[in-house]
Amino acid sequence: MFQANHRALWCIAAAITRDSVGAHDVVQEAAVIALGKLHEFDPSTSFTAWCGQIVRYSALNERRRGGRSRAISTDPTILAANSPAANGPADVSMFSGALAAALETLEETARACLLMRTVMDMTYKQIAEALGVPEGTAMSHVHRSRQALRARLESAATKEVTP
Amino acid sequence: MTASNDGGLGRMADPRIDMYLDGLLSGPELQAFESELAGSPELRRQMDLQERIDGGLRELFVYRAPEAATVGRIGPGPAEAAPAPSRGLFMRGGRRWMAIAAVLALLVGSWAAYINITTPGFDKVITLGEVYRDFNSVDFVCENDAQFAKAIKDNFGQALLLVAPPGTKLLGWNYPGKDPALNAYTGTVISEKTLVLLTEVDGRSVKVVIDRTRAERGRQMGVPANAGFNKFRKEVGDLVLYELTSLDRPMLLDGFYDPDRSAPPAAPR
Repeated sequence: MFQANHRALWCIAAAITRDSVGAHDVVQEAAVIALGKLHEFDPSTSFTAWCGQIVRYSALNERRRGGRSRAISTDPTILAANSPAANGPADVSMFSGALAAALETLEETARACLLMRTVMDMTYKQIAEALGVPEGTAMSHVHRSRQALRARLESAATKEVTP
Repeated sequence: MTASNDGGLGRMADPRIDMYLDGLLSGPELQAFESELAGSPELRRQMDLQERIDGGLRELFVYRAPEAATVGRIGPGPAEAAPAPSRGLFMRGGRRWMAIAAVLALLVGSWAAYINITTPGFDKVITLGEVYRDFNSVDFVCENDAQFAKAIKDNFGQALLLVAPPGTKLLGWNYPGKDPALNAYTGTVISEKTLVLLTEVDGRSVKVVIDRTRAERGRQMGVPANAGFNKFRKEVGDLVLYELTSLDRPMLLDGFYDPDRSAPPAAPR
């Protein structure tokens, strides 16, 4: 069951660590914790939401510890050097850097909702179940996050086309 | 929590784009939007930007499905059948699997115990005493009543306004449960989203802790007799308010009201 929810759990971790690989490690760590605490799980509640909380706390602990060395930087210069797009046009790296920085301004739950919807193509119902929030709240998080990112990245996109 | 309804997003806040992307527009709405999209360079630009953002997110966050063995089989349901043992070179099938299982259980148990000991607690519980003493930073300031009401409604689904007595200075809001460095909730007063209104009444610090009444259920909100401050409680609609003050009576609680349900009370004092 943990594996069946891995995509959602990974998004919860990635929303906090901002790091794809680090998020996998966090989910692994959370799986071990969940195994040790399985006797504490109340079967009348959502197993996904229970696991999600463990992943969330594990990710927060990871961030408190300073994250892994491969954590994504929000510095556009470092991102430009390290991102997969480093070999592509400069504006792609600049945009990625601006996008990572804009993501930092979103709240954790909003980031998780956005990643589940955009990266995983999860439905709002699935997102709501994974995070233990109402479906309307999940949708509101995604819509407001998109709007916030568009507003923040508009200037970055404009700069690229300005000579 | 800003003054404008769109949170200062301006023209990038056209909600139809998000509804369109989610397939929530239909019939005449859909036709009207697609027609406008075809004729409006500005709208087209917003759509292109959104598509670029989506692509950027997929590039930044690359998911790879785990191998079954790395995640393990964890769940409340019935255990899956163990793989059929094959004949090993040095042990007979059943015995070999038992040995592997024992070693794995030992390793996993040790690791889980290690993590339990070395990682900090999950949600940090913040007492009212700590709120009164330690949480003094102004995290957000409302410029007017509309922002004040919206800040509370955004958090709790119900607006609140305050008719404050003369001599009251509203300093701003503190989010005790939120770690600004992580931009995430890591602590709990009543819930992780508890808001604290920082004020001064006649030059003395008075704090009002606000949250949903239902979040309070089952939580101990007591204050020791020698805490050095007094606690007063009131419910306004679906919200519960605690006034923490060195004064011997509440100065602010009676001034709070829900502007969507009732008229302002008479000015206290």
